Amino acid sequence: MAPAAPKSGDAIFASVDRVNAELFTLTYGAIVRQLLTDLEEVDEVNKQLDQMGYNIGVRLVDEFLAKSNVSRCVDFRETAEVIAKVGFKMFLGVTASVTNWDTEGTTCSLIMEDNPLVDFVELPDTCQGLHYCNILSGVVRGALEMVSMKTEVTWLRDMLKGDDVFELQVKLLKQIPEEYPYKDDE
Amino acid sequence: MGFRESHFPSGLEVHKRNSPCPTFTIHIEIALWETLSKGKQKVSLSAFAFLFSELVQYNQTQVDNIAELERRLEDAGYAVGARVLELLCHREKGNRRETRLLGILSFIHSTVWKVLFGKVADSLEKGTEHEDEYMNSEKELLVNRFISIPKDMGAFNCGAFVAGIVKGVLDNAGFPAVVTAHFVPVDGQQRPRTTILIKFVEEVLLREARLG
Amino acid sequence: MIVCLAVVGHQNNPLYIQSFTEADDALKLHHMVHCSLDVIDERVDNPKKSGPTINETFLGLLCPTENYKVYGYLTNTKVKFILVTTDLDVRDADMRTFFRRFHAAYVDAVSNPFHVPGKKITSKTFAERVATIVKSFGLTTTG
Repeated sequence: MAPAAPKSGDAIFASVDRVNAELFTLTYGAIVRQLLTDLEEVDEVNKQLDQMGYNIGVRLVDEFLAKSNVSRCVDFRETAEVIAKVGFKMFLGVTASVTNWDTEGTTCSLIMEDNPLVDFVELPDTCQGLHYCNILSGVVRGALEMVSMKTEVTWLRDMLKGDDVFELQVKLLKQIPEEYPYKDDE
Repeated sequence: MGFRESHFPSGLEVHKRNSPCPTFTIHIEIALWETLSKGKQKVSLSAFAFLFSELVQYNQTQVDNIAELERRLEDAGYAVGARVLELLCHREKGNRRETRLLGILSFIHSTVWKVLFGKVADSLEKGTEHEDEYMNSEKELLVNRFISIPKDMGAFNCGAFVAGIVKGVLDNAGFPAVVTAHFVPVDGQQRPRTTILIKFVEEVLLREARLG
Repeated sequence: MIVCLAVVGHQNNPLYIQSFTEADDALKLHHMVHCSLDVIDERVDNPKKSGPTINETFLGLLCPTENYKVYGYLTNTKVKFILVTTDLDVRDADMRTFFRRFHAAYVDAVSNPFHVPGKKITSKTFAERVATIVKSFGLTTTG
């Protein structure tokens, strides 16, 4: 019987190596600026950020599973909780909450009040269509895909656009049964 | 659980060590860091490592040679450095302005390094051959800890990002300089250290001489 | 009361200038800000004359006129803050506190990844914060 998933990522976050959040925040800001300069179109920047996040999510899931002692989540509901409580905490030092479940239990929202990506950030009028934190939605999508869950991840609320919280909607499209996501060649 | 290199698309890969997952063993400085930046926010080193790796990989797709890649990383670092200077001057330096060359160098070597990388840089030396050169060296620079360079990328050094940070600090503090990152072999060590070479422009040295 | 605040870049390029008066004297205020830049340059270029204050960010009173006092502050990045006030009796300590708070707001504004160094500060948050700091300064000195 697999151990129960931890309810909080506090202990894990306390045990991992950490860096100054400002280095992280400012580096992310530099990336977004670079993308805006290179790609010019806000939509293209959103896409690229999502792609970068996806790449990270795909790679990060191993470390997450190893450190969190989560072996396999029973269902999407439990998975969402683990991402919000353990995953966000473990990597970003902040916790999200899960709400707005639909009746089928396939769509929910991750709510964040605190988000280290957006310190100092104020969107200029020319970038109102930018999903500044789009890398996060990519990470969630990429990580879930590695545990066989195809999802669609959308920003519903954004503090940079005047909302009171960040709300990331995660919609389960399909669950691929028992297919190991990569070849184990070691 | 094993760690699979195939997840790293282009030439770069996270260091494969004997640890069970792709993370990075740096426990030594954490304690020191805590005391210096009272309760400031942190994120996990992995989060930064993943982000930085994406920065490098994205920029790889935008260039066709190593020099250009380093220049782009330096640009990204510069934007960070300029802001770090503003932040730290307000927070750490009280109401003093730095007007002297050695003062700003020691500010980078100590304050900037401690805040960004959790420790003072390993060494700060003056070039022996050139009066206008200074070297800030680190046995294992944070950004080189988790990235190893494939052979075909030659002398490419991710430290270009850090060189950019240093340049951003120096330029904006009124000490313009050319800043570059180099691997320097160390006797008895398998891995080279990274030296951030700072070459000040002439006007800086002239002003310094005038101040006496 | 504080009637004008300006942030000026290291090449004396204006980054932010805001008047806080109803009166139509913007031109006069801008002129005063402009003149005080020379005073700062002269002080910083002649460290011997300005004595022990050379390395302090707070430059103190730059030029008193009949109706106004002009104060200055120079950051490590060679950015100048200039303040024009009609209060003729301001304590240096209050002025230092004001500039510290103003500096904090400035640092946050230029840390925004969308701010281009050397360009005008267009942040609405910055403008709002400055307005608050200016208002609270008036309260502490008059009451």
